[in-house]
Amino acid sequence: MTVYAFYLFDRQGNCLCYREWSRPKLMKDATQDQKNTFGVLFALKNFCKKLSPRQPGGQLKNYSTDVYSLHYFESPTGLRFVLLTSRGSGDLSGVLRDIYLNVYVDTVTRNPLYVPGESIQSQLFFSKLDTAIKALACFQDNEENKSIS
Amino acid sequence: MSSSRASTWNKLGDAAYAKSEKVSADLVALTYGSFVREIIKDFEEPDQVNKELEKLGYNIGIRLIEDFLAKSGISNCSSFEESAEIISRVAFKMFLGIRATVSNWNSEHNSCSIIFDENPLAEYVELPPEYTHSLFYSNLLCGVIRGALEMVQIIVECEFVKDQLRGDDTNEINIRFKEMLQEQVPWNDEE
Amino acid sequence: MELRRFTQPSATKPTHTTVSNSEIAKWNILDRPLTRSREELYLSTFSFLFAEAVQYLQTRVQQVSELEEKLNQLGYRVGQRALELLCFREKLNRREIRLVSILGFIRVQLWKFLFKKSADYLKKVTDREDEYYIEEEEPLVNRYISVPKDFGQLNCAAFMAGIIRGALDSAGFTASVSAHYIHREEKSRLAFTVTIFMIRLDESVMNRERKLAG
Repeated sequence: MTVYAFYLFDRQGNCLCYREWSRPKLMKDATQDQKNTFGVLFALKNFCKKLSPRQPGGQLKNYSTDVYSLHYFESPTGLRFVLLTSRGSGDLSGVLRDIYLNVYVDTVTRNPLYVPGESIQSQLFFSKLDTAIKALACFQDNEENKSIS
Repeated sequence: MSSSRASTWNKLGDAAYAKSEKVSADLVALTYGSFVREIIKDFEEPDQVNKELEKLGYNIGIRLIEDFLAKSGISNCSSFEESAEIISRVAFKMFLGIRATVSNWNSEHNSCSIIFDENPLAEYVELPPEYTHSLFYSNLLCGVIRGALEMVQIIVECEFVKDQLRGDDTNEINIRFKEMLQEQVPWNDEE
Repeated sequence: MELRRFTQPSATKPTHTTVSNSEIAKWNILDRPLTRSREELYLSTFSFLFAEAVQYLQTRVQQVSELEEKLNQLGYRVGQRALELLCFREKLNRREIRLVSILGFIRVQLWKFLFKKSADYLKKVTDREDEYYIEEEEPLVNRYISVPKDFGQLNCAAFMAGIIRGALDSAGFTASVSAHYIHREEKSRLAFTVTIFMIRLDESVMNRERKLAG
């Protein structure tokens, strides 16, 4: 199992942060990739809500394909946290919620030098995010994958 | 609003305040005072100062809401009426250590007042005569409320109607509900 | 805009002799908040306020050095008032007149009053009679700060340097105070960064100090 990449978008679709660990497929155009990801999630999220038998309900948490899983958490203020992993990593939307509560709020929201809506430059955020991701059980295999390839 | 929800919110406010890491309230009051003084130096005109304070408060509000949602245990504010109660029972307690009350609802239920007798921002402050009737020293709070609610898609307007620094018996901020924002598709594919 | 000033009970002149009407009015308002020390507030209340102050000042300057100057000025007023308020609260009648005592007072009492802890160290700069520094590993205002590269050596603790300067000044010790990052290495731990508040005392203060030393 592996962690591939992390995205953070605001409500307007600005990508505040993109990090990748071992993403085998290289993105030709990072901006386009981010835009597409946001757009697809936006549509998917609304679709999930529409299908829900109970209202309010139908929050998107994750989806899986034959090779990867996408995990999703959205804050009430419209921040979208996205994590791409290999299959079988379980439900990580709770982990994304923790990243919002404990990493984002502490290192971005409270940083006097951060301007809302701009891409995140805080080294502290990156390192705390990195620590949180590397602590995941499913991250353990990242290194192994590297040594095999 | 049911009383059980009110007491749940009160408890959330007390708990958030109790468990939070603290700073000296004097540091907050003195820093705010020094900041206001800086703004007065830059803008001079009391009306302009009020406007600027509201604007700066708005900038604070759009950040502070994240902290509020993260630490208070409130997961969403679905209506204006509920939001007003949450602001006074949870947010005021959490950030200012005081509990405010909501009253003066109009008949359409789209306007109300948040009333508070103590104001930790205005401690040790006395306005000079030329500002007594024109400056709203704590106008920042109006902006904070507007900014925070906008981030959860609720658009409001706020203004101070009573201020103890002007000799009023209490502090009162009026909040008027404008609209609920719907999420917009940020761009379309044909672009 | 005047933040309320506090009349300190002085040993030589009793405060209750002749009081004008306006002073009576002041005392009435004074009695209430001063005697009842408010509980503390949530750290974030301060952090957001400070963050916005930094953003506000930043829009009005061109250079990092100007921003630090503005932060210093913002802190200066806090330091002035804080010293008055602290002396009033603690009913301290005795004015600190010696340099080392006022610096110690700032490091311990004033720091505890504002930041709930003493500053880590107070040291004299070797070979410099008029220079001292207060060292703090994690200044409160820098708790959540991560300085982007384009801000160079910006240290927002310039605000706290201003507080020291304000407190010193209102106690009669004119000085310039600046905040700097210093990298430290110790055997027992990884390299780390601390902030030092460099205090340079005015010549007049040093002259007085020499006289007092006899």
